Amino acid sequence: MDPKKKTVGFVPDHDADTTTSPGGSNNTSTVNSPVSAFSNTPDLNNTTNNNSTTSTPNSAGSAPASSQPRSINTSGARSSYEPMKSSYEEQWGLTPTRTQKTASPRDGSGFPAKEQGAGSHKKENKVKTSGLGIQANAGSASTDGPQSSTSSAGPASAGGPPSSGKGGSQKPSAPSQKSMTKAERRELQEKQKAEKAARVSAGLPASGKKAAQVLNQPNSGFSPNPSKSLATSFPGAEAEKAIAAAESTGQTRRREKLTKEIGLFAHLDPPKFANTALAPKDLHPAVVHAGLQMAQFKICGANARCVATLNAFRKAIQDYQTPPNTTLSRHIQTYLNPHISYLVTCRPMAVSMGNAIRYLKYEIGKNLELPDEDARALFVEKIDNFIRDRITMADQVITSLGLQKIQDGDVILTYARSSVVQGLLLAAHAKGIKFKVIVVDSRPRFEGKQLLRALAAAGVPCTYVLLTAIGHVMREVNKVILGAHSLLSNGALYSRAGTAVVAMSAHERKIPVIVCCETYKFSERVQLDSFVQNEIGNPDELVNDQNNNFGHSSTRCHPSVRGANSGDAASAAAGAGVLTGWRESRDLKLLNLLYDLTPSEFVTVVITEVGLIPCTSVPVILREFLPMMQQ
Amino acid sequence: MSKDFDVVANYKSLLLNSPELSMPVAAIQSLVELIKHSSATTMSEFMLSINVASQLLKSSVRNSISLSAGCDLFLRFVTRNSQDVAEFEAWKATLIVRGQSFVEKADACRYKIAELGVPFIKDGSTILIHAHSRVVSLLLQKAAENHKRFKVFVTESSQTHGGIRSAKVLRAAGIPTTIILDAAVGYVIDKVDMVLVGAEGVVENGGLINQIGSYQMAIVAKAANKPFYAVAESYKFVRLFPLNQYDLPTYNADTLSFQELNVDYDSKTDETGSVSSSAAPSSALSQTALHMKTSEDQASQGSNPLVDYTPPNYITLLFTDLGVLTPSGVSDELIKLYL
Repeated sequence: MDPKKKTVGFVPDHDADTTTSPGGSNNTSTVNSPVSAFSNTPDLNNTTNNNSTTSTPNSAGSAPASSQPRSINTSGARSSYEPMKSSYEEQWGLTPTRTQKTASPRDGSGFPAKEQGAGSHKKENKVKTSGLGIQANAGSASTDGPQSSTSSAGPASAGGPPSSGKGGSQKPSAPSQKSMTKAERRELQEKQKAEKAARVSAGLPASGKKAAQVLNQPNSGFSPNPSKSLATSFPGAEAEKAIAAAESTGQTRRREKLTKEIGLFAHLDPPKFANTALAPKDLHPAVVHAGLQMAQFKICGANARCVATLNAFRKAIQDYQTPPNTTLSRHIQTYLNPHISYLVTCRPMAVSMGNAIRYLKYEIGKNLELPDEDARALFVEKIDNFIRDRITMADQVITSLGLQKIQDGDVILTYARSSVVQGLLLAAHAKGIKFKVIVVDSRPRFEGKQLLRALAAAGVPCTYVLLTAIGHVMREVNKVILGAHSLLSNGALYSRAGTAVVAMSAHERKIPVIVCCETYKFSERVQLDSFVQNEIGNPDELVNDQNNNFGHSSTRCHPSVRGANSGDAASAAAGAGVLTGWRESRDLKLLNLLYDLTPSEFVTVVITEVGLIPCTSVPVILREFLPMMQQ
Repeated sequence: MSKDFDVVANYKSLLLNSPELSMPVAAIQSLVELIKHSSATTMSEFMLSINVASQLLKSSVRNSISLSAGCDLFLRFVTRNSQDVAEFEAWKATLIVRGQSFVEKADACRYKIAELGVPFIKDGSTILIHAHSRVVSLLLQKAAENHKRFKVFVTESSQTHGGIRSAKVLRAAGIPTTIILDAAVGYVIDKVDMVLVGAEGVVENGGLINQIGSYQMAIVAKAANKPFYAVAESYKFVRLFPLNQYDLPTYNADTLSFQELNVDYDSKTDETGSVSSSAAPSSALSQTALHMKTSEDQASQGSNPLVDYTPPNYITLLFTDLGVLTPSGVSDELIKLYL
């Protein structure tokens, strides 16, 4: 893809249509928010049915086979990151109760296959998911890959009631499922996932089958297995099925291929998907909502995620009813823990969220003796103050400090989008400083477009290029301003993947690299490279596929691809690109890392609310300043 | 208020009377004098008068970096102590006492630095220094007193000719000293074991603001893998974070601006073709510059920068009265001081 460079004053055309779409397009293609999902009740019936009928024959026969791969799974692929989980547990106070709760709704389903699995592995909630996948597919265990598993399911579903209704174009009827493209199936699954979320938030049973029963769905001919709908209720399930299938036949080499796990990153959590099925039942809806939005990248960015988390927790605290024989401040932490662990299951915790939650816990622990209502008011106030002091006001101070560093005639380069950087650039423009901005962006998220849109709307002269053109545009740049996900104690900058390239190429040309970061994002962690800790995004985002929206307008396929077949529905398949069937290709793995690490020597200055500091001073701020702030 | 007391005149006379006094200390001393003369009766009036005075001081000199370091430090000192004011007059008195003790301590700073720095000077070494710095001279004198045998190259440092002053001081202390041209730094660097410079100010990232020429010296030293040490008293730590040379408070639009070629312009155009005045090619500029009148030479001198900024990655260590610090250590100290 050749970098598109557009100059000053106008928004690139490919951006123009995404500009209008962020709200609209998301909801049309896939159901993204629990609310909207719930509104399509008829649809829900159809898909549930569809889904469950597909699985039934397989799961019935596969029950005995499935118990074995489960144990393989425990010690195998997943065990590599289990230790990390436990550290998370320690950090966020994740308690074993969570796994119990997680398991319970499914255990109650009363199916033999179910019982067997659930009974023997009640505690391994992680394993559970994949185990259920196996149940659904072990009938096709001898065949390999998700492709074949679906095709074996095809005949069964053919007997089911054909899907109908408004979703028809998006969601083909059951017989055609065999011929669905990967992406279409994925979309279907996404939809089901969202519907599950809706069911949960609507107080229906999490499993599709039970929900169907509740809704009096006519699916008499089949006894749908809830495990199947669970397994397919999130996009990763397919891969997991395939893995499990391979495992059950003992084909470990095949398994390696199918996990699509990249050796160097095997220790990281695989990409996560919104899956309320795994969530405990008694979560506060606000937290569930926030978690889903984060999982779908609808809430994205360290600040936004932190604010969303805190606001959800505030609502949870406000609505919290103290159980008998305890006090609010003593019990609230136990109450919040499953919420926190739920957020972790949605998407790995951001450093900002972790710090905010740690602060909240610190405040709770400090005020154990307060009467309930006082404590509630205090915690709500503390949350509000945290958002105000550490985020909102901090951003304002950073903006005012940053303005000192922007002069007339500057050409400022920035990468992707940071809310602080956007605020700073807009403030500089509002102040009347004459400067130009080069927005560098990259696949797969194209977050820079959002910034570009805001800047162009404000009338800031902008240029939009992709990361590949960085060497070319760096020549005219005289300042680089970047946002941060976190600043680590060794001064390293942990930020959106691609930041390191930008910082290094700026350093190469002795262009000052300015990082805007609030002090609450400082981390005590030390990291020397991007491998030890990172987040793996959904690899399917890398696939050039129009249908692969993932609820985010910016994840659309590259404009050049889209431009080639614009408006032509038939050529959509051509636009899908070579990666479409990547999961079937044995030797192809995709890696979508979300973050990277920029060593401290490539960062000139960090603008924080406590002033301009070199990034090596992070530990000093953590040591000297933060205890002061907490008082 | 300060109507009856001219803080700037006091500052200038202090510097004139005692050449050993450095600018920030003189600034603090004159601010202490101001407090003595202050007739302010309320806290806010008092703070205002100090703020006004420090602004006056800063604007009174062309290169205010080290001076503002002193002023800021004193202001910080005043504001930090203003929380626990019980009785205004008594507080004022303590401020005066503390200010004076600060000035005395500042004097001792240099001796402490000299003590810390002497071990770095090895017998038989050759040292390159830049222009004139009291604290560097003192350090070298102390080293000589400790019977270290070493030789010194000192850059002449045109404009101020501080190098000549340094050479005089060092020769008097029995140190073999050679004055070199500013342009000869690269020539001598291979013969040099270490580079020592003073500082006008030490900025927040551990970088250095010093007499022009320090930066190129640091670059040359780095290229030749020679240690580059800065010597600075802690009262020269200043809350600035320059991104590059052009981000200093001393930088303005006039700095190194290209001369208007209007003077001999008519006579030159036939040689250089059609030359637009400001966007002239450099060849035309230099040709014209040769024919410039003395008055314009003066003008171009005026637009030359007096100080430059040396980024921290060129600095090996800083010798300060707080100890021998790495550049990032400076920012730690500054954060502790100002937060």
